[in-house]
Amino acid sequence: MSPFQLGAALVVLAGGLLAISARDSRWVAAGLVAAVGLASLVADPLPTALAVAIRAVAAVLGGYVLVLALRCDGAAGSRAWQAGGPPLGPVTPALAALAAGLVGYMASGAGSAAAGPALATGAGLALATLAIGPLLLGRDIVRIGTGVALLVTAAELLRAGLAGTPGALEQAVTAGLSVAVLGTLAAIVGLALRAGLDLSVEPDLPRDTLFEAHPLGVVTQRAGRSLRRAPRAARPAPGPRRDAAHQLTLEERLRLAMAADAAEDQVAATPGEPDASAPAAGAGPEAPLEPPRADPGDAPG
Amino acid sequence: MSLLPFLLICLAAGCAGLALRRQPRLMIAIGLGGLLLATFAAIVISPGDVLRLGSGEVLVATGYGRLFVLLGSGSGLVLCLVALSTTWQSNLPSALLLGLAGIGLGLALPDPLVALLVLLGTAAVAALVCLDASATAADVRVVVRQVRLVVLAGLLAFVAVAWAAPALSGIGSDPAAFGLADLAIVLAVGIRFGAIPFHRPVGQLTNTAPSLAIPLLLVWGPAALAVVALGATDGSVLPLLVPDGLGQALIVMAAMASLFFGAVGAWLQDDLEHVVGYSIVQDAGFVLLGLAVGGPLAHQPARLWLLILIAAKTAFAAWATVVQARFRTGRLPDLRGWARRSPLLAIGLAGIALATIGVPGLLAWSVRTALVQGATGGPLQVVLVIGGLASLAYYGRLALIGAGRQGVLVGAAPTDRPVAVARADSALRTVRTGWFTNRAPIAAGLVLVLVAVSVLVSAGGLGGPAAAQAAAPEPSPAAIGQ
Repeated sequence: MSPFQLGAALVVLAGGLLAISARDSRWVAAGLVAAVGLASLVADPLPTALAVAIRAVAAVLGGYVLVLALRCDGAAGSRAWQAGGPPLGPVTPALAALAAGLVGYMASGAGSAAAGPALATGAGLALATLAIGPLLLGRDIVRIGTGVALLVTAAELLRAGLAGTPGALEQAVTAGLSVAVLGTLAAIVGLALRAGLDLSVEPDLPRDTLFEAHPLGVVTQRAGRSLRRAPRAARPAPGPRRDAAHQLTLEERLRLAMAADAAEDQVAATPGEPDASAPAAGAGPEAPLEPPRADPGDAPG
Repeated sequence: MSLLPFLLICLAAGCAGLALRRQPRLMIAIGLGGLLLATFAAIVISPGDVLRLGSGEVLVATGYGRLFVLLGSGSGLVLCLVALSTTWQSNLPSALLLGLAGIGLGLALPDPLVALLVLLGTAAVAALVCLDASATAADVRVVVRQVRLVVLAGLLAFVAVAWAAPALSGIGSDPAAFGLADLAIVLAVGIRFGAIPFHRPVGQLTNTAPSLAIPLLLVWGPAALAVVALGATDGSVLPLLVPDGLGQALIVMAAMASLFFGAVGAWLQDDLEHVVGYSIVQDAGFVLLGLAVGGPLAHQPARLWLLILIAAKTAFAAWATVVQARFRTGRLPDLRGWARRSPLLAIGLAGIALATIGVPGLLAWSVRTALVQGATGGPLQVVLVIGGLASLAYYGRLALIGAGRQGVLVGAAPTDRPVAVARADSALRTVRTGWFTNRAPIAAGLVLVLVAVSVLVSAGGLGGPAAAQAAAPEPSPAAIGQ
C-alpha cells in the first residue's frame, strides 16, 4: 500500500462524507467532485494520466451540471439549495464507513483471486457504506442523487480491487457514466423545479393511485389482539383523484366531472343566492371526458 | 465498421431530437427519420465486423446484436407512428434512439464490465422519458426511484461480474464465491425485469411512464442486461456452485413465483397498462430459468426467448395504447365489446398471445419447454409449464371482455372501417387529412405490423435461432473447476 494511494483513498472518502453530510448543495457538489474525480487514483498500477484527467474532468462537469440545474430555482438559500443532512450526523456514517473499509481491506477478493489492491476494495466498501444511507433513505432528489453517484464510484473502486485497474476504454466509459448519472439527476432537478415542484420525494398523500395487486389499508385483527390498522403511509387515497382518470370507471369519471363542474358553478354564483343554471351532481352524461394522458400541447399538427 | 453508422445515426438523431423538443414538427421529422435510417443501418450491420479502439479494445458486431437492434429500431419506428396516430409523447423518439445507441454499443462490446456500464448509463438516461414539462410530484418520485433501481441493479451485476472475472479467466477461485457472484448477476437481471418479489416498481412505472415507452424501460433495457449477463456467465460449464444447489433452487423458485403471481397480477388488474406490466413480470420468469443453468448451450434458449420477449411485449404495449386511445379508457370494465368494435385489434391480441405462448411446433413453445427442462427436472417441470400457460388467464379475460356487449365508450368509438377523404389542393395535405381522419384503422394496422413481426420471430424467422447459436462462445477450457 503506497502512501499516495492511501492519501487518494482518504480524499475520496472525505469527499464522500462531505457530500452526504453538507447541507448546502454547493458543498455537496464539491464533495462529489472530489470523490468521483479522484477515485481512479486508488488502483495498482495507476491508470494513465489521460485516464485520470478524463475521470476528473467528467466529475467536474457532472458536478457543474448539477449546480446549474439547482440554480434555475433562483437565488442561493432557497429550498433547492438546502438539502437535509444525514439524520444521524456525519460521525455515525464515518464510523460505519471506517468499519466497512477495514472489513473490505481484510477480506479483499472474498474467495476470488483479487487482481487489484486491497485498499481499493476497502475504499469501495467504505464509500458504498456512505452512499447506501442517502440512496435508500434520502428524502430529496439531491440527497438520493448523491447516493447514486457515490455508489457508482464505490462500484468502480470495488472493481479495481477485484479485477485490477480498468483499461483505457473502461475509464472513458466510467467518466461518461459519471456525467450521465449526474446529468440525469440534474435534468430531473431542473424539470421538477421548472414544474413548480420542490425537490422532496416524500409522498404528501398516503398513496396516489390504488394499485390493485396490493390490497392495502385493510383493518386486520389477530387472535387475542385489538384491531390494528395498516400504517398510514400504506393506506389508499381517500377517494379517486382526477389525475388518475385512466384508472376510474366510466361512472366514477362522470361523477367526478359533474362534481367539479357543479363546484365551479357554485363558486361563480352570488353567495347566498342559489344558482339555477348549475347542473345537479351526477346528471348530464354529455359532460366532457378527458382522454387518458392526452397532451394537446405536444400533439403534432 | 458496419456498426458505426447505426450508432452515429442513433446518437445524432437522439440528441438533435432532444435539442429541438420545443419545435414539435422538426422533432417528429428528425425522430422518425432517425429511426428509419437506424433501421436501414441495422440491416447493413455485418456480423463479425471489428472496430479497434485505442489500446486493443474492440467493438465486435454480432448477428444476435444486429437482430436485437434491428427489432428495436424497426419496432421503435412503428411505435412512434402509433404515437402519432394516438397520443404523442414528445420525448419518445429521442429516448428510443438514445436507448438503441446504448444497447447497440453494449451488445458490441466484448468486455462485459464495460458493456454493463454503458447499459447502466443508457437506462438511467432513458428513464427521463417519463418526465416532461407537466410532470407531477408523483412522476418525479417514480423517475427518481427508477434511476435508483437501475443503478442498483446495474452496479450489482457490475461488481458481481468483476468478482467472478478471475474465476472465468482461469485464475482459480473458491467455487462458492463464484456461485454467489453468479447468483448476484441473476438477482440484478431479476430486479431490472421486475421479477417477483421485485415487481412493485413495475406497477409504479406503468402508472407514470407513457405506455409506448414501457417496452424501452421494462423490456429492451433489461433484455440487453440479460444478454450481457448471459455472455458474462457463458464461460461456466457447471451449474451454479452455491453449496447444495441452493442458488439454482432460489432462482427457480423466483422464476416460478414470477410465472404464477405475474399471471395472477395481470389477471387481477383493471388497467390495461398494468396488465402489460404484469405480463412482462410473468415472462421474466423464463429469463430467470434461462439464467439458472450455466454454459453457452444452456443459454441458447434464453437468448431466443429474449428476442421473442422484445417483439411480443412491444406489440402488446402498442396494442394497449391503441385500445386506450381508441376507446378513451384503459379500464377493462369500460371496454366491454372492444373486440366486436375492432376486429383488427382482436386479431392483434390473438397474435400477441400466439407469439408469446406459442403452440407445439412453434419456436416459442419449444424455447419455453427447453428453458423449463434445462432448469429443473421431475414434476416441477409440469408446474413450471402450467405457470407459463397461466398467461392464458389474462389473455382470455381480455378476449372475454371484448366479446361482450358494447359499453358506452366502446359504442361511441370509431370502427376499423377507413373513411374516404376529399382531395385537397396539395397531395401532402390530402395525405395529412387522410391520416388524421383514419387514425383508428391506421393505428390498428400498425399494431398488426408489430404483431406480425412478433409472430415471425416466435416462429423462428429473421434468423433468430442462427443468431442465438452464433452468440454463444465455445466453452472455455479454463472454466472453473477444471
